[in-house]
Amino acid sequence: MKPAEVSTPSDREVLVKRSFDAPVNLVWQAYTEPALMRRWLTAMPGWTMPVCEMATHVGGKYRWRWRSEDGQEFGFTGEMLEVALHSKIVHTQIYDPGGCDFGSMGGEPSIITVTFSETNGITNVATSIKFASQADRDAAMSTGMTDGMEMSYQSLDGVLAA
Amino acid sequence: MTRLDQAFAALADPTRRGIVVRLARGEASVSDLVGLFSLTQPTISSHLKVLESAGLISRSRVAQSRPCKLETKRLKAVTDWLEKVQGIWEGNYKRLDALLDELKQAQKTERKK
Repeated sequence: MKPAEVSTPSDREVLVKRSFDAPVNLVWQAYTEPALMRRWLTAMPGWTMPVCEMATHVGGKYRWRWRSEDGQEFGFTGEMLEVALHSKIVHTQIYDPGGCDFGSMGGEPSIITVTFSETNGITNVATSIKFASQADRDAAMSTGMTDGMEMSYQSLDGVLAA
Repeated sequence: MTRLDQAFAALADPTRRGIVVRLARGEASVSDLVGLFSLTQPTISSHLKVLESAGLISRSRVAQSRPCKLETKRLKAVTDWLEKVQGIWEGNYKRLDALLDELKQAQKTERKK
């Protein structure tokens, strides 16, 4: 599958698109069942997800928490705003810094929208992260969380082709 | 607003992204860009002002046509950030690819039974 495409469609938004070689029911399972979520949603190498409480009904609360090998922790919590089986999940997201020095990542909740669509056994997933304010996105962008990652090359055209 | 944030705001507009892509191939004057985008000169000029104040382009004070030039350093800060974000997501997605392969196999085995 082609690597994830990241773009910034507006000044408060980040959009990530990726396709998966699997039918939508399996992708949906991997996105909503904690035992499966834990296996891939590990954020960074060397991190695990000791807390993964998920909700798949409107108004339900979720709680995710990650822990590094050296005992640092951070997490996200939020509420499900919209859930449409095999097609869409919308939820709020509040960053809980735990003991991690990742910067503030913004105080107000962001709105995360994940849409799923299947064509010929390939599932396209689009994730939009809408920050409450430009300042919040700024905080998330300046965080040290993303440092030291192994980066894949992204061409100028790819970045700007939003 | 920080410069990086300003750069992202500037790049949120499709015409301004188009201008940046054009300037990546070399300098251009306002009239070159007017011709290329079929927009009025004041519209192009206002887009250039936004790009210039975000530090993404600079305009020569020497030549009368004041050609615009891409400031690659600023643009690199933007692409670097996007690459970092992309790296984290792609790392997760590669693990998801592997998990989905496993789920597909399990489903096949289940059907055979």
